[in-house]
Amino acid sequence: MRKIKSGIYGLNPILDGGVNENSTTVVIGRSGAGKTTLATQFIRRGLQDGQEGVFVSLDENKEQIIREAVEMGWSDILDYLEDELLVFIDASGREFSNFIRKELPAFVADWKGSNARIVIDPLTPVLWSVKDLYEQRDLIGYMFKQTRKVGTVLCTLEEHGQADLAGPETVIPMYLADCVVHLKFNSDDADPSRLLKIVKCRNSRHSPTSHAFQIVRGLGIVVDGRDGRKPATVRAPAQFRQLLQTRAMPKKVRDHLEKALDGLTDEDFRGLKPEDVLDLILQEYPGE
Amino acid sequence: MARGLGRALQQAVSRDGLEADLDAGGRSLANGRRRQVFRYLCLRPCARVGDVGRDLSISQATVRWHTWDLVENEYLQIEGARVFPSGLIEPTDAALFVALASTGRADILSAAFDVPGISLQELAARVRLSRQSVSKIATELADFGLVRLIEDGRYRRVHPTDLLVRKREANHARADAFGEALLRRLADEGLAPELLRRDETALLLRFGAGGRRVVLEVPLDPYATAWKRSS
Repeated sequence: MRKIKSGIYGLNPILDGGVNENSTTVVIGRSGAGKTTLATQFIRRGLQDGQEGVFVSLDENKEQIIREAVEMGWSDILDYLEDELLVFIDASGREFSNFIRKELPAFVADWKGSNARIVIDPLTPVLWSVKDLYEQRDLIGYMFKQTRKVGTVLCTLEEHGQADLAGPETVIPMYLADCVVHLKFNSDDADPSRLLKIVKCRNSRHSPTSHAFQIVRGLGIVVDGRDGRKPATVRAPAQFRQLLQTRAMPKKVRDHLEKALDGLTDEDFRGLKPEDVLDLILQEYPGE
Repeated sequence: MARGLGRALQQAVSRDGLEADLDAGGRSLANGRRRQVFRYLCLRPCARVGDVGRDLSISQATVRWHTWDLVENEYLQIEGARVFPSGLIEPTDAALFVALASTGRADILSAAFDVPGISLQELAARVRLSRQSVSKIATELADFGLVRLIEDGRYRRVHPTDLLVRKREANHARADAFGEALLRRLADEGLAPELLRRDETALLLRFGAGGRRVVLEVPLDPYATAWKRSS
């Protein structure tokens, strides 16, 4: 899967090189956590590479977001708007839900294969426009599936109440998205702190830990991208390969396992002993 | 890849495909208002003209005008004073849909599903009708087999039946055929229909003429949608 640069300094290393192209990312955080700043950096990076950008604002108006971008030092946004490489769309959650149900299929049919960056900020009003949880899941799942066909999508999601990410408003998009980024903002202390954690990222060896980040004028979000992980080692996969040569098993099983080991590191085994794993696998094929 | 995706998305988000007229005079569903009326009657067959006009914010005279056009062109079928989409429901169920479209029936049926075994007294408070009116309507719904009335000491309790669930399941094949016939009909009229999405509850079509195309969602689940107030 091709990786594209996120535009957020320090984020690419902990995302295993960048954002997967034609994927959906959900960024979750409380008010003030930096969601819109992150989304603006993401879309601006694409514009610098010649990708089209669409910023769907379901909450704040276009002028406010543009003003904040210019105050951040990103006045090139105005040029992109002038050239229509960047388009802002103001809509209510209900309007956007109606668009997903009735217009999105036709839109995707016309623009399939495009390579835009699309931001939906925030996704929360779309969820609120549908009361039934089953319908919410159906609507969001359908939107993610379709919008991936026209570009790489980033949605922000408001975090309310306890920061445990367990409410249905966060669980449904988190479950359906390809990548989930949690921005934790502790504004209560005298010394406010910000942390970023990759909750999940399909098809990536992402960092498992939380990373401090700052919002710097002119640069935007800067993440401490050092993840503290040791360099990748392959002791467990090598041991597993040796076991494949010494243990009796059907040829098709051996061939399959040989192939499955390609590219694995010790981190993938997460402490499992190769001999124990092989025993478990061979229990599946007794007497073969 | 061609530029202009953002502008096209902006137009699509703000577009109301139901209201736009197509440059295709003489063909029923080329008219935006007529499509709205047709869609509404797919959602709630046999709805009263007053309810259609109120929910779509158009005058009753306009609703009647478009309804007659749709009947003349056989998109709708007439039964007594009410109309329903031709081929979408079992014609003998027209009386059932007429009942569901009458004042208070949908609310009382919804309440019976929400609180199975609800007493007539509780039901009256919930739907804000007199106990006598609720009793009369509940008896009518029971005559259709939609609810059962069970005596419980000094209370009469209303229990929903599975009649609508059974009818809904039995109607899937008919709804499929209805969708196919609609696609053929639009094609025959030169409106070049495209099927964008199809599931058990709706069809999403795009069609048009003269360079202009509109999207129409056609509800296909009337036994579930006729008595629910969403959508």
